[in-house]
Amino acid sequence: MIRLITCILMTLSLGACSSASVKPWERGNLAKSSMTFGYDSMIDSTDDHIYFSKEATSGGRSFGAGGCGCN
Amino acid sequence: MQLKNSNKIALAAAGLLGAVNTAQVSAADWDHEASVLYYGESDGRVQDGSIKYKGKRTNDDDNVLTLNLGIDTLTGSSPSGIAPSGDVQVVATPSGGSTTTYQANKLTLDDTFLDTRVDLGASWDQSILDENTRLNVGASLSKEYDYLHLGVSGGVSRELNNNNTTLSLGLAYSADTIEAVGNTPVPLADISAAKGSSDESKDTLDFVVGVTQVLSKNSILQLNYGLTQADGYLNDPYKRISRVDSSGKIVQNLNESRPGDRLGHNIYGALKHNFSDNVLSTSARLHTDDFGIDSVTLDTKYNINLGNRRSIEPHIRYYHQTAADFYAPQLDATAPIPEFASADYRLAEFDAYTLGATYRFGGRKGREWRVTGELYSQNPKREKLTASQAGLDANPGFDALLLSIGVKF
Repeated sequence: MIRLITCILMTLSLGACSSASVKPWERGNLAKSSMTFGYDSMIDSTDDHIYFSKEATSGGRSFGAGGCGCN
Repeated sequence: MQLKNSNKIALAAAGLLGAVNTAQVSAADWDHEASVLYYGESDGRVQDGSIKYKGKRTNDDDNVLTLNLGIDTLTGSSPSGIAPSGDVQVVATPSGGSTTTYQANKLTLDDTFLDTRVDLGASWDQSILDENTRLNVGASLSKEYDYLHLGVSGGVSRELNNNNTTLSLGLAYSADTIEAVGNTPVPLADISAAKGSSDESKDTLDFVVGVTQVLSKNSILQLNYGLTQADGYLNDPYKRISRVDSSGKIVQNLNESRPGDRLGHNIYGALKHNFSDNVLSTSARLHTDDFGIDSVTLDTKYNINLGNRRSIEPHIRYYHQTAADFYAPQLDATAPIPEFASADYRLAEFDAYTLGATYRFGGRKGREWRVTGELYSQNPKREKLTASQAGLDANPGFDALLLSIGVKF
């Protein structure tokens, strides 16, 4: 467990250091709505709820979906 | 620390009301989204119709209030867990009020499934300390005939590195109450035996830590680690499991039994890349937990800009999970009954595939419409039953169709 968390934190640190070069005026494409995580959150939440109901594992992009006694 | 139910309700209500009161409501500042959804499984299994609404208000200080409402109506049938047999079976329904008859050589589906679910949610997001640090708090509530969910959540995020890096941390707690129809079945007791208490509870704690990193002018990456701890009543009160002798005869049907706690870990990575006018969104998730279930999920969408405010986005998803340690399609009647056992198809080993697409187009007054269609197919590993049950399948899998129309306005 400690190894897993250490590994994740190292990965996160590497990610944080990987690019500081994108300037505000270079963000035209990044500013597109389709480049935003969670842009279509209603589709995401609908899919997550279905998968939560039909599969044994959930979560990932956010908290695990839940709140139902789904069959 | 365990909160009493009344305190949990008060906490959730305070979160909802507090968020609403904080906002200076102005209709002109709201963004709205609504959708209708149909979900239907093959062979007369679960059918779901739902409507959803999301309202989002951003004020001059960049504080964001989000409200969610959803209503689902579910009907159809769901596998009972009772093993298929060459004989007609007459068994007590989960509520205990009557009997149901399962035809010989058929999957045993519980067709008493009918419910309406209402869910509400509210969240508030604002900057704290400085403009690069934000706080988010939320509350959620959902109610079905036999299930109540109350949840609260909170998180902080901080932008670093000229806004190229965002670190985030979140915590959520939910307190659910299960009020099984006809009271709670006693685990591993005969399905005809007297029931237990009128309600049971389940507490779930979620923790997520993540980073979002701009990789280039056209790429952005997200990595998350999530931990989930669930305690309490983790059974499905309507699932059963059969004890079967070597001749294929069902000797007894029992209520299922699962452990009372579950600890799971998720690692999630998502990447978005802009190719000219098109955007690739792909993600992968690895999961492991102490039920013995490991899973891998791969998901890809490709948004193709068709011009004139139109786009189409194909979607493909692959999912694989291993079976829970205590999953069995049926129990050997000559062996001792294990401490935990479930024949719930969702705890079996299977592959699942989703294939679909979303078409978006701009409407009048800046509205953005979408139409989504998806096919979901669940394909379990074939489990061996007794020789006398040759040709019978306790978990044949299913296909489902999802159709949805939504609009942002």
